[in-house]
Amino acid sequence: MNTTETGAIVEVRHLNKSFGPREILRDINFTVRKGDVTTIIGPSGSGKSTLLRCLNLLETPSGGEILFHGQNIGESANIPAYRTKVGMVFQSFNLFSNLTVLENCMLGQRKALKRSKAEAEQKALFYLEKVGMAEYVNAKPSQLSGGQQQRVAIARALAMEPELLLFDEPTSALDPEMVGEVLNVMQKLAAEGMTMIVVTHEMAFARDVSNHVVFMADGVICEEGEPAQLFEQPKSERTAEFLARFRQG
Amino acid sequence: MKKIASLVLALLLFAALPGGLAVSAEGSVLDDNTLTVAMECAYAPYNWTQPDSSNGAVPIKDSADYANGYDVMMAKKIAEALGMELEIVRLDWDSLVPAVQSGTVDCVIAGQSITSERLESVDFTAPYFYASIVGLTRVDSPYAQAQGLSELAGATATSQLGTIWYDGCLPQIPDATILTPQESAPAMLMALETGRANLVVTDIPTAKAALNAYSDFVLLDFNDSEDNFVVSSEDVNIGISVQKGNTELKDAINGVLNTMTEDDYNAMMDEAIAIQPLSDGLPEGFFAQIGYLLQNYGTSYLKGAGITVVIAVICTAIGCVIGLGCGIVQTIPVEKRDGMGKKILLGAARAVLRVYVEVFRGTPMILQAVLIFYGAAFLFGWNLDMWTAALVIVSVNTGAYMAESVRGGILSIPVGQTEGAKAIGLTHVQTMTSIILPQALRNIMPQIGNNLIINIKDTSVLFIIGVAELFSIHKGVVGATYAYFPSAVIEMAIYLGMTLVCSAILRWVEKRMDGESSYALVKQTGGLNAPPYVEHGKPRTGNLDL
Repeated sequence: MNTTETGAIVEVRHLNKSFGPREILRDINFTVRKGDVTTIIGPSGSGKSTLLRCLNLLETPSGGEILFHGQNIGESANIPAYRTKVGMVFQSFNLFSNLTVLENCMLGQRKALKRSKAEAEQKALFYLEKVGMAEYVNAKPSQLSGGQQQRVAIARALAMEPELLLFDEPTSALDPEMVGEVLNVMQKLAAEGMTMIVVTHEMAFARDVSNHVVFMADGVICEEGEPAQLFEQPKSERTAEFLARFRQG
Repeated sequence: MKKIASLVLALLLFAALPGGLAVSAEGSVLDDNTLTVAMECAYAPYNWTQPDSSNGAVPIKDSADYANGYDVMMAKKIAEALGMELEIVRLDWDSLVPAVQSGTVDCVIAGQSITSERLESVDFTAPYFYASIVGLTRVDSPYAQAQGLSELAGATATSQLGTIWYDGCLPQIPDATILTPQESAPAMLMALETGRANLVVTDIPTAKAALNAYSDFVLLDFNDSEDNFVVSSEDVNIGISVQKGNTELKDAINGVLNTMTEDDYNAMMDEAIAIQPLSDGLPEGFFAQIGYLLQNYGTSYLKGAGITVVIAVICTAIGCVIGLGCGIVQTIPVEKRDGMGKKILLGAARAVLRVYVEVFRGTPMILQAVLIFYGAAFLFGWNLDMWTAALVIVSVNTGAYMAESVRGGILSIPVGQTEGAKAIGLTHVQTMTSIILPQALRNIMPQIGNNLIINIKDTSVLFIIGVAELFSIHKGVVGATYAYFPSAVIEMAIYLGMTLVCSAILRWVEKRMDGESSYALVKQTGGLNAPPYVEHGKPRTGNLDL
């Protein structure tokens, strides 16, 4: 299968990851095409976050391939350059606490993309505006609420203008009343055609916003498909069992 | 006197190493036409420090102060007779032997007695003074009228550490209670003045000088009696030491001494005692004495304080840079995909840094100072400039402590900061310089402050290599005036003042680094104002409404 023909941005083939003797991921295969919004769901400890972290090499895979536009990034010498094209939003925001909101959104543009100060500032402001945080440019991360910090973190990732954006449980560390503001931003991005992979426990988001759902358990992909199919008629017993817990609430 | 300090012993051990035998081959000292003479400048009436050039005092090298006393008079006589320029170097007592041994100075004229131990390390000229042994007591003590050694029975006595007075003479007093030795002559006199001891044993010049400073002291001189301390001539013969094998200089100095008689020596010593700073007596009363010291030595104290601050600040800054470098190397991550070369190089660098940190953190700075300053001259013939040596020693020491602080500071930054930086494509170096180090530096500011304050105090050990910092001023003032307590109180006040000011400045810097506690909103945005996320017209519950 030729990736350029299929429009795939990322193809994962036979990916394995172990920490010492412990196998976290086993033979993971999936493809993300331009404009896809893929959600990865599954019980805690199933390897969802590890898979996401392997995708931008925060974890080094133990085996298999990750193809970015057909090129195996495991063999790529320039990992920082690859990371500028694959943004990441963390569960715990990871904003730089020594920098202001504006500086957070400019640093990567200046250092990794070598954009001019004026251009970096203009882009940073544009994306901060998009997430509704433009008025907070002078604030330090510690002065913001969790929801505000996560929106800035999304703006920081967007300012790099990546081809693909990875979300690692972006709302799990938030108070319930702040979850909405972050999901709202993500929904808008999806609507604008941003290619996204989202690890989440927000089942409604997975069902309503994504166009592809991957269910993982015990380090393998149990089932994947369109949200309507996976949520309404799960093929796997594990999937049905997992989803049942959300229906009882 | 024979004063055997552990430092000298350490140096002698050092010298016994095979490589240590290669004594630096200096050119003939008579050729360069400068006679470099070392002394304590704190051992009145042999030598002392004074703030001006009165009574023919000679400037002290690398200092704003002047030296005078019997040794200075003798040094001037010798230099004049040999047609040489005289240069006086101020060194701590324990550094005198290594200094002449290593060739850092030409000779030592410092009231040293000619002992067989010293003769193993250096060569001595003929005696240039005969220092007979006497006792001192207070006028109100039961021994004030003593006519012989046997009448001192039962005295509570002390003397100076490592001298024949303490080691050889005190045990001759019947039934005496011998206290622990005192670190210097002024300290010994202070013990007598405060009543901790009611008898001290010393030599005649020291005793005569002490009588000037302490009006209630009484001299006990039994030298014309049979009932006296028994000492060998080597214990009372005071000589000038030169580097072993330097017969040229030794013979030249002996030639000058041969023109003088014992009466000439005694007359010159009496003259030295007469022009000693306190020959007219220290004023009565503690505050009057403080006033006297401030008036006469105020500028010396201030200059010493200035040198202390400059060394402490520069060395803390250099130490921080060294510490940053070490801390960064220690925390470079090694990943599986890294090449073998990088792993080996990094491993070797870390091992070297580990040794550096452990050695300099684990040994006293005073010994490091002696080993670096004299060791370099002795082993390799490098005559380090005193200031260079001081800066190197304190910086390298600070660096060893800072390396650990920086490492801790870097480890204290949450891993999420590194991951956040990597995720936007920053390299390791960019991550460190833009994100990790600024935060780590902020976190270790209190430790940097600690190090600065420790350095302000610990530079006091640099007196050992003759740096004219604040503490060495104290030693000099006390050596000249015996005003031990008042000078110590002045020094305490200056040190405390310096550290308090530094603390205040550092707290201000920390506040500046933290920035504003509030922020201003810049403008209202027309962007998304984050209305609540609504699922199918109902507020989000987290559960599926299936």
